[in-house]
Amino acid sequence: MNYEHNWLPELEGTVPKEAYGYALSNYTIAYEAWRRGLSITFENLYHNKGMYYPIYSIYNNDNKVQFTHTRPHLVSKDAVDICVNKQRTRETLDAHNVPVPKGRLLKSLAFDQVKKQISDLSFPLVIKPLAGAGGRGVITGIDSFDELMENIQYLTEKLNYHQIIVEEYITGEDYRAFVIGDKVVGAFRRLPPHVIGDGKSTIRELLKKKNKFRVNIPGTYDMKVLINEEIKRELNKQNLTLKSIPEKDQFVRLKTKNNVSSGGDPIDATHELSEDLKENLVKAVQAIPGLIQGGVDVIYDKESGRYAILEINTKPSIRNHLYPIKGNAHEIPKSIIDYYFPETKGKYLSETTPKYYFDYSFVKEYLQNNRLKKFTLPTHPYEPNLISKLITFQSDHELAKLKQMIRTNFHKLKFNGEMNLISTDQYEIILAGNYQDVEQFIDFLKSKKFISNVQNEHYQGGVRVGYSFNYKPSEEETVTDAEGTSSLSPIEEKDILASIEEKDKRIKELENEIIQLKNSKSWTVTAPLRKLSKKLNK
Amino acid sequence: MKEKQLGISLPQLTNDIVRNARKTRLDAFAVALEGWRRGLKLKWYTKDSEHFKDMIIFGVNPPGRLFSLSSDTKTHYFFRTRGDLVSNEAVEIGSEKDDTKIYLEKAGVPVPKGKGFAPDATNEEIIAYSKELGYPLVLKPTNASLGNGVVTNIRNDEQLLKAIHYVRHELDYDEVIVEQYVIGKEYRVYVVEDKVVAAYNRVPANITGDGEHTIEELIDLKNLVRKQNARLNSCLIYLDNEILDFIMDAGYTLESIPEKGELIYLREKTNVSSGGDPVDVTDTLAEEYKQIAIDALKAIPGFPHAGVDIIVNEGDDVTASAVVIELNPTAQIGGALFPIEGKSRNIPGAIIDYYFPETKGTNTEKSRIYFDLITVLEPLENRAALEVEVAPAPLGRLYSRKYTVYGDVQRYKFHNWLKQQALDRNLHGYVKSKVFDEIEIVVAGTDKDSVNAFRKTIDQYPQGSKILKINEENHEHPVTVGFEITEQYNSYNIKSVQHALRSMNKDLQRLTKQKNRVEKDIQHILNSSSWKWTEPIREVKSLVKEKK
Amino acid sequence: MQTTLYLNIPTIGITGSFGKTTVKEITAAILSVKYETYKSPKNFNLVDQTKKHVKNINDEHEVVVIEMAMSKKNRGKRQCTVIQPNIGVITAVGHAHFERFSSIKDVALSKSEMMKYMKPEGTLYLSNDDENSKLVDTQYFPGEIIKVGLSEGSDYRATNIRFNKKGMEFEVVLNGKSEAMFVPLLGEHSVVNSLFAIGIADKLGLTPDEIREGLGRVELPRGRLTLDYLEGNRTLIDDSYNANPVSMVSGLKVLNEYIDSPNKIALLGDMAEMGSYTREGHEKVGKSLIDFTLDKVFLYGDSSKWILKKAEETGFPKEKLFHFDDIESLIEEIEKSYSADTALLVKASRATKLDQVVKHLLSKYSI
Repeated sequence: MNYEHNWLPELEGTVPKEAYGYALSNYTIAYEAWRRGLSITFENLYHNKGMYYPIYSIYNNDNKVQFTHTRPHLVSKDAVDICVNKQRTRETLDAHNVPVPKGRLLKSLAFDQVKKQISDLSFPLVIKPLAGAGGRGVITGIDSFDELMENIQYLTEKLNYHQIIVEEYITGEDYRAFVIGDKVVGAFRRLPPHVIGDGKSTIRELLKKKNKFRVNIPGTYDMKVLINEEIKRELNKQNLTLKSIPEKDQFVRLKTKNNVSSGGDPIDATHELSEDLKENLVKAVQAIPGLIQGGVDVIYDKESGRYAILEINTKPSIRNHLYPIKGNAHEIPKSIIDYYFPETKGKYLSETTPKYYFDYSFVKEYLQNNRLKKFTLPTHPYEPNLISKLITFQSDHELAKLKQMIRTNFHKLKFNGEMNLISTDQYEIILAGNYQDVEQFIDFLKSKKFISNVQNEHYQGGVRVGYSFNYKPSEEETVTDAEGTSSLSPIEEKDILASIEEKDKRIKELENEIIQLKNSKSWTVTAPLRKLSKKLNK
Repeated sequence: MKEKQLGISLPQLTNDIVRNARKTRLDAFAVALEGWRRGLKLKWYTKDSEHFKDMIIFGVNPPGRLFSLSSDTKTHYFFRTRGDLVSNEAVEIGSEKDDTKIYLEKAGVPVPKGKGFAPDATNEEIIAYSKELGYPLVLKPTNASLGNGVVTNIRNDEQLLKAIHYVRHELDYDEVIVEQYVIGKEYRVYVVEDKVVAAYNRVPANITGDGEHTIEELIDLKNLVRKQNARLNSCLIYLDNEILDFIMDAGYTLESIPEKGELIYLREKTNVSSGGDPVDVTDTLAEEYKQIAIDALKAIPGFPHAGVDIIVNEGDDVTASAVVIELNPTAQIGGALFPIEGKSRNIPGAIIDYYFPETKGTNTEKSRIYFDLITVLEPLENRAALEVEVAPAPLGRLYSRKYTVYGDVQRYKFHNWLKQQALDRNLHGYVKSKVFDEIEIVVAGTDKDSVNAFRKTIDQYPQGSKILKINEENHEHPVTVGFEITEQYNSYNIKSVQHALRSMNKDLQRLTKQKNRVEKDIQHILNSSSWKWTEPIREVKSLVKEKK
Repeated sequence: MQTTLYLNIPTIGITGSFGKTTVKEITAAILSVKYETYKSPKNFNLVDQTKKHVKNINDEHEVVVIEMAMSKKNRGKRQCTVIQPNIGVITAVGHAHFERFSSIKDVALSKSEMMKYMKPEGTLYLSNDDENSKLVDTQYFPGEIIKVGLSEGSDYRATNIRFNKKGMEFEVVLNGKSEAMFVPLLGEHSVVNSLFAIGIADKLGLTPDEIREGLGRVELPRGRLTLDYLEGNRTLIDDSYNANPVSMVSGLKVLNEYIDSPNKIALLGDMAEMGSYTREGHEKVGKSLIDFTLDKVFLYGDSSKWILKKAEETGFPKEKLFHFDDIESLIEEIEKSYSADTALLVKASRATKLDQVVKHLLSKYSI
């Protein structure tokens, strides 16, 4: 879009598609550790709802830290318990003089009792469940007592929450900050789902463009902004429709709620925080014994400078920190690894080291299927004289044989990378290895009669460790929607499936027929004569 | 197309289960599987792993031969059938046939009289010694394996010279051993500590005539039988010069038609890998021979288990009843697991009993759970992983059911949901798309109720599915650990679907062509004049046959 | 991860099947005439040792000389990952370690790792004499290759080699002019080892005089073919530090060709660390004895029995061979035989501890 943003350079081209979305937090932290030469093992941990979520251990000879999403095992159980319980969080923070919204856990939900309990609070109010995750069950902007009781009833009856916290509503915006040790690594806030006009395109067209952009960002690839009633209503409020053409640079809000999952955009807001707020953010994390690190939610009013800390998340997702739509990405993976493995601080690879990354598809293919329990990554290649190249060539040689030849050479020469079929008879190889071995390999390709037009150039992009062969489709074709179905229309899918089944049947039939023919008497009996004719034909 | 279970095997290690473990992977797989089924942790490694830098290993690319098994208290590393309790010293001594002889002789274990020669020994030295030793003799390389380069039954100077030239110059093995030739049957005995776990007679590659087929055809037919044996299908009888020479020496050609019942040997080598037949004789082999094999391992420090090759003496000129020919520290055990005659022997069980005696008595005979070796090794092969740990085996009796579901059931989302449900309930198995409106689901687990209750689960897909009918049946086949959705193509990716179609079309073309050719060939000959000419002869022949 | 050291100063890495330590010592000796030189200590050449000792390189050093063992696959890679040489030396490709499962090709490949992992634009020094060094495939090495040796076509070639009682004299052409050189070491191989050092020093700007001065400073630790002249015109060649069959035969050659003594005796002890090659290796030495003029050969140690056996088999006079199992009897006999006008070569692996014998004789007969 038209915002300026600086994302982490080491993540460019090195985040595989399988690591997009929820897995991004796991991947980027493990990746940072891996680049520093630390060992990484992924292990499947059974979680409910049938999904195996991997935990990963980062270790070297002296030290081992196990992570569940973004939380290391070193975070005490106590800390986790406190943070899950919003009331305990408030009390602990309050006791340390960290500003929290005024309010309390309702001891009783009876009419009079409630009235008593809110007597020292001023409207508007906010209610939220004691142990709800994220924004679930949070109702804000309650202006009257009746509204309050209505909403309490809603939470208890419809959503089944019986422990409810009531707080004063604080004006300001929602910020999420990541804190580790005594540092605020970065904070972001969210812009509501919106488009920016260019004077020519309709809102529908602008939204389409935005989605295309969003879908290619690892943090939001699964969060398209879907056109629904909510959007139409919001546009209506502004006297606009999907067909309207906004002015250049006009900001058009599409929804009221900011969350990224329904289309909001994270922007880097670290520089907006006052020093005072930063201090308290750190204080908040340090106030919880054994917490060490966390994602802190705070409501902050830039103008007045007033703020209140709402809650702390011990397993915050960091995708919005890494891919803000405006501003600088926050170096959270770096801060985390610096913290737990301080001896590796600054131990970076040289500029000439190829941009290696590791395959993440094993999580889905092996761990989540319960085929394997543990998976240990190969260590990051680290040796002098590595180069990476992009080689293209043409060949109409049998694919299986070609693949085998390339694969054998990859193994022999310890290359990492991939071979892709780009279009009919057109191949590309991305590889990294010792510079002499690479030159030798290129000469080898050139020497093959069935290979032509061998080109090569230095390659700046990501190189995956291991060897794989892929069909490189264009971008539209691999886009899947949030549920992961294929992008073929049901009718197309049906057709192709049917065609494949049919052909499969036919192939099996033919194979059987051939076997039968060969077993038939006439075949065996005519054998000697066939042999003779073969000999004669020589 | 599932292969019919043919061939002898252990009940828990059938052809199906070892289908993806070929050649030397079979050995590693059999031992690893046994350990894994007893609840030990199983990990597979690439040769770059630190854990194996002190073990003598070879031929470990591609992966599938290096693994470890761990209990709560200890871990043992294995290279094929050889575990880390076999010392490197033992491996070295066992691999050098002349060193082996020296140790065995010292311990009083009978060996054929003879000695080894250094690589720069002259042919004259060897001949001089051989004359002193006396014919018949055997000449073999000091450190070759698989029976390569072994020349037996050398009866005179001329043959000796030929043999020396062949082994030392043609095959380039300068280091050789000369020893007496002991006539008798050769047995491979597998010993674990004080016990002989398996003994089998290795008969050299052979065929039996039937009066109709030529030697070449008989070999093809024998290979068809071998193909059905999980061990032998990777070592078919390969028609090479050695075989051609051998049968020519015996006065036959490829076109000769042997009499019915006539046994013809094709080679001298007895190894299973060169086409030999393993015949189990564990129950009938005499105790004294077994003891000789046990003593042989005891003669060498740090050698608790291995294969011992012995020859039972049938001649009357040598004093010992049986002699030890060689020791095999990294023995292949396929012959004992899949003999062509006799009973299968549970060598993996004996090995695991030795390394993890606390697991002795775990009965894995009825075990139906296994893991697919190819899947497990794939990340190692692609070098995307350094080591992998296989998901733990469900322990105890396995219950399983097969459900065939008809209806509009091909949505990937539905399959994925089924998978999640199965994993949720600790079930293993798969969902497979069969034909367009049919899927097959197999669930297996150690909780009988969960398995049976899955029927209800299938109906409970929240997004609704148009299920017309569910068929439930018994399922007794082996099951792989984990739960998988098997599709023939990646439905995420149009290009791969298109490619699958393309390659199928190619296959169709090729097969159609092939079928047409076969039909044409037959027709052509049946119509040809030469065929018509030979008609009377063929008639006579069949008449003659009938008379017989 | 210990990050690789890429230094801006000349960093010389020396590998090869033999001669590493010697070339290192000579190179360091010469370069130290002009530059503040860092050299790897003693014979520390394993990767773990390299990791440790390079921490001692400081800002004062102007040139670095390191011995690097590359005996197995990937060792070279790991060495160069600790510190990347910009000048590489492969002294020889031969059977230094007789692993049963490796061949000469494997050895060449291991040594080739120096060429693969050193600085691409650097300079590589190879032996022009060693046949097996030709197995190092330099096709894709973009840097400069310099060949060193006694044979024709060497970029640095030694000619006119003479032994002058104190060491070796020879001539090398430097900058178009023939320069006389002297190195206080014995044997042709010492001359070749010096050539590597001379070539490096020449390229790094030292003058022939500076080179001569450096050569003069060379001092090898006791036991590496050190020559002592003792009482009564006795000569003692102490090579008891290290041994492999090739160097044992070389030592005998030195005794045979360079030492001018009416009586010559050799004391050969067990060679260690040869695994299953032990018997063959000792037999090789045994076979070679017939080519030398020796008055007596003393053998000490279990494996040296193979030397005796093979020597007998190949025609070396039985009565000249003596084998001992204990050191006292050995010393007794040697004293008797080590009369005036006798040259004695002592050679064995350090583990065989023949340095005891040397010590004893030195104390008895030192001038």
